[in-house]
Amino acid sequence: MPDSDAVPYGRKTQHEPALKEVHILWLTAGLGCDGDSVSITAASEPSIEEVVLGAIPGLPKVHLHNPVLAYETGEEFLKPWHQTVRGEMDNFVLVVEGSIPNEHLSGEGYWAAMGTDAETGQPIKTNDWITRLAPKALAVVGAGSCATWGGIHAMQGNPTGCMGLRDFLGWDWKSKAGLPIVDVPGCPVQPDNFMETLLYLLRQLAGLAPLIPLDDAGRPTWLFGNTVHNGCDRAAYYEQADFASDYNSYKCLVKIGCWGPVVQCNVPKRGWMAGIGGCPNVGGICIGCTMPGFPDKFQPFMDEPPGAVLSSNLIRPYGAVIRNLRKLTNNTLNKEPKWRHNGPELTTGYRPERTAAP
Amino acid sequence: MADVAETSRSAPPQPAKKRGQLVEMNWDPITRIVGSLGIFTKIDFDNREVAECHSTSSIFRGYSIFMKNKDPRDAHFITSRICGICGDNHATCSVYAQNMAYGVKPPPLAEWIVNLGEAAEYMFDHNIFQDNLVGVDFCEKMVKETNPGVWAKAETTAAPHAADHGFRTIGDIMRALNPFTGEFYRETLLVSRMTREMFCLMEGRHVHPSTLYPGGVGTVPSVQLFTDYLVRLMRYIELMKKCVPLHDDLFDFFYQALPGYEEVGRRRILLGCWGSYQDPDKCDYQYRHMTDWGRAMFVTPGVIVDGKLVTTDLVDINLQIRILLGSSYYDGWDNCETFVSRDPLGNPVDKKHPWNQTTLPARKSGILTATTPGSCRRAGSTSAPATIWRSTPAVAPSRGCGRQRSPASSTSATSRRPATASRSICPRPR
Repeated sequence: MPDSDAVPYGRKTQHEPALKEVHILWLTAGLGCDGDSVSITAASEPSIEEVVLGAIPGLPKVHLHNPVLAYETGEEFLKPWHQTVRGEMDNFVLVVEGSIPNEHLSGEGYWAAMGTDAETGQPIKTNDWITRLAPKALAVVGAGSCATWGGIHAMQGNPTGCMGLRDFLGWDWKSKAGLPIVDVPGCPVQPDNFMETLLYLLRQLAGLAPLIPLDDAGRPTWLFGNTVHNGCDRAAYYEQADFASDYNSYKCLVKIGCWGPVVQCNVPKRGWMAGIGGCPNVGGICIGCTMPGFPDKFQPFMDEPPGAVLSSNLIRPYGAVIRNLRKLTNNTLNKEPKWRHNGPELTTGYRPERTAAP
Repeated sequence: MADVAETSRSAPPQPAKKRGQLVEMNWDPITRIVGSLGIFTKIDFDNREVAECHSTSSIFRGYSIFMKNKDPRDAHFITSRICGICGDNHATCSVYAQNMAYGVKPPPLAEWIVNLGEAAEYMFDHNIFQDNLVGVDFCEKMVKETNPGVWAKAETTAAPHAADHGFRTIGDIMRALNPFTGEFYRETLLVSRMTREMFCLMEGRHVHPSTLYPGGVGTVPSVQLFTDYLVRLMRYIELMKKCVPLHDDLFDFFYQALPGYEEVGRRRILLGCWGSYQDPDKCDYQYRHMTDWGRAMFVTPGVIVDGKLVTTDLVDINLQIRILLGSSYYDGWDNCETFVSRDPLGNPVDKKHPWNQTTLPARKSGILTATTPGSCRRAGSTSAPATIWRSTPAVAPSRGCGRQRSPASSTSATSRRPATASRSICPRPR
């Protein structure tokens, strides 16, 4: 019988988070559409409310400062931001959403800003927020392909010269806590991909997880280590050289624009939300939105990728043979064994053993 | 019809009155919107009037510049990225425009799938906007801070439809709207996810769809697909039985508790809508039939000026759209190429029509703000005209008229933020 004064097992094995409270300063004022902020409201693993309300054990208390969701407005919303710039708050993660513009090119004006400088009366440029906050942050996270690589607004012919966080801060940049820039790409970022990464970072800051595993472009390896093709349930059509020639098809879309085989993304594997939807797995060609080369290296989106011409032709003879062989086997397997019938004789192969008389 | 774009943009003249002291009140950034918006006002509290009001949009991206010379089939993939909450709306409009440009008509089932997807989007958007964004303006925390007298009243006012929605008092409703801690706030987040699942069923992913193409959709129309949608739809309708009376009670209470609140946002009634949901039996995407298939849309197009319906003709509505530079930092394009001088029916097309727009950002000191596309002096939903592929002789019908986006021209300083009645949900500089 356990001693009633003994410490419960859980109290011995768990400990206070290394960081009691953490602020998430979420800068949406890059050149963006706010799609990544909207995306996190779609997440359920975990949901944003579960993180903010402390439903996941072991995390620090989270204070979210995202303008799309914030209670405060105007100067009240910006108060913690100004405090952080002044060095009055240092336990924060800076999340950036939207492409970083090139302010060398904006003449006397500016491309992007948030809030007004109280002394000068001028708008505070987004880039200034980043240069002032990044050195003080525990971590800098890029939410979505605009913040990570520049994305749509960085396409050929753009006037703003915009770029991703690594282009702006440096590909080798590290935070004061020793973290490289954490890049969670996607256009928008897949909801659970972002929330899962955020949860990991919070656990790491709480002392519950080791350094987040990132590839050399800062992407969480467990999320972006596989290609679309690896996770696509239409990959079997590819293997059998069964390709769609128009968009009205349930077959492999590689000949009509899908870049799946060379794009690092898990959306076809995990679906868009709650396992529902996605891209090529549900009929939408992969346009490579998680990749640094997006969008230019994938355009025109609806043309067959050059590599697919070669690979689809190479696999045709194999595919044709295998499809036919599988059809043969499938035909065989679609027939029951002969002994299942309603006839008078048992033809199952059962031969009762005769036992010796006692 | 009269060219209403040419009439004066100023408000009706006020009788001269002694100006009280002006108090500067600014809200920059406006939160709980998608996009960037700052409102700067000078308020005469003695006369209970907003003397001056300016709005600014502090991001420039350059869609109409970098989309030039790109393959037109890429258009809807790109324009979807204009907005992170309604991007699918832009993509749908773009697809409508491409259909017209290429002379293609989608199969009827594709049209129904797009309609269902966009309907799901409406459901999602209305919920998340109403109770996770706007609704916070009516929550306990906000009302207690800004109107303690109203809060006290709310606590003791019975909700007339308590039997329908389960909240006994108005105060209970307001408590349930507190961000994150409020029970109805959280329930709405769940509803917004379920409706986005419905959207994903039809259009692949949210907010930037994957399965939309000119001429049809890549969505596989299976029994499972429609079953999954239908089941969720019925759950949504069930929730609306609670949601609608809850909001009726809440807003009716505000009108009683804050006399004068009904004046918030009161100004000339200027509404524009270029329709939603094509009828595949009627819509052939041909410009010369647009008047007819426009009127066959399940949400019909129309323009209302001073409360009167002046037209439901999409050809008319399209031709009357103007891009007005106002106080934004763009140069005019009067000296640039005129791309379209007549529409396919022979009607003249104005130089300030979106089809003739050239984007020339002026990099003077100050803010690069969004242009103010106007028809009847109303900054309407700008998704279609500003992003349409220039060679397409079409107005791409966009979503319905619930999405008025006007820079605040009259605001009330009674709450902590500009009155929600005149706010913009998605001030979308591009």
